[in-house]
Amino acid sequence: MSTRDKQGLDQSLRRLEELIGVLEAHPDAAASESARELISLILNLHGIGLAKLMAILTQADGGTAAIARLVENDQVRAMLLLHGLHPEDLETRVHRAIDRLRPHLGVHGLRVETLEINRGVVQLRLNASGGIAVKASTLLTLPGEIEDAIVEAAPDVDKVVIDGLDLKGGVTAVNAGEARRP
Amino acid sequence: LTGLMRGADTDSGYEAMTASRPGNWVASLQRFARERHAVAEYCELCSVPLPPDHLHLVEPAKRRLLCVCRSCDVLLGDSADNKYRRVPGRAQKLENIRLTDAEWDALGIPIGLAFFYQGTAGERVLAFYPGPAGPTESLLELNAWSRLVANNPVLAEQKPDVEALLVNRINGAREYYRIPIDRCYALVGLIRTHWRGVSGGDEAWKAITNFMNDLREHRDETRAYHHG
Repeated sequence: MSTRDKQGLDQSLRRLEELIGVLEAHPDAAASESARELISLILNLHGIGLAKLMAILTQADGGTAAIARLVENDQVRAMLLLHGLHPEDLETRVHRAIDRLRPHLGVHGLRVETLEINRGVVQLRLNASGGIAVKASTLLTLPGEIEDAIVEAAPDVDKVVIDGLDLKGGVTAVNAGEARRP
Repeated sequence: LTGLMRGADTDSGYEAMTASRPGNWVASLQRFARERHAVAEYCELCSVPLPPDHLHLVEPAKRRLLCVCRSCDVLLGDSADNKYRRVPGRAQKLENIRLTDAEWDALGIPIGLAFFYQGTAGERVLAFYPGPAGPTESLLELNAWSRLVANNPVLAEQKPDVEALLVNRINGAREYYRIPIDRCYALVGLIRTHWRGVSGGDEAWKAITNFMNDLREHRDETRAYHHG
């Protein structure tokens, strides 16, 4: 997939988030409700068709390999994530994203621990691994980076909560708060 | 929050666009697309939030009813390994069921309201009815059920695990329904919530009467089933 495609996709998804925000705050409740129903109908229409398609593909010869290739494509992946049809569940995707972060965190003298992943809420704890002094500036930016990495792998996550940064430098708990952006 | 770990695209005019990455857009869109009321239940197979009128799958080996989303219903319902079975959507009133008072008494159900279903695990027929301590389950004598089916061949069509025969003989009623098992669990839930004392109390019987009225008038077919 080209960079241009990926940027186009990201742009659409950001716009999608913006418009959901607009509709959620829309003063005309009836119009907002119609929009909600329309989206819901289209999601169902596509979701059921896609679920059937995945079911057929799963049972076909070489289906699993084909699905693995499909998921590599960002656009197909986004579509499967939207309809809850990604072959890996939310937990697996979140764990993988966290594992990929470990070396980077290690460099900054931090260890990450997954406390709980339940109903779309990911709870993490950051601890100093000892040996390397953790910079205060790192503590300001890292939670955002962790959250970004998780949400990219799992845009179906409701919320990422990071705490446990109770370090000597005087920086106490940092809470990344809602993963959802305006 | 910006994605500091990912190198920013500085080699093109896309900088403004890559300033922020999409957030949890799937969660946002799904939340918006859902009904306005608060989500009380989640898919028990993939954890996505469910609307109140969601579907159910039965896991016969564990005698368990699972609340599921449409995707899981399609992907896993009636799969080849038979681990999960889809629950039919509709209840059907059965006319001309032949069951005399003597035959009913012989079934040993102490009250005029019960549902019966066959489990594939063990090939047995189970009866559920409101008892002094709330919902009560008993194993039906296989011969008794066979006799009932012999007199009423329509009952042979009832699917094991996912459908039940609901019998209402309260206050002189003689009503029979072939109903989806999730609705039976809804009835069990009602009884469990409202039953007081040995005879149930007004509230429990009001809830049961409402349940039967809804069934009679097909009012509940797209409604939430709050199962026990």
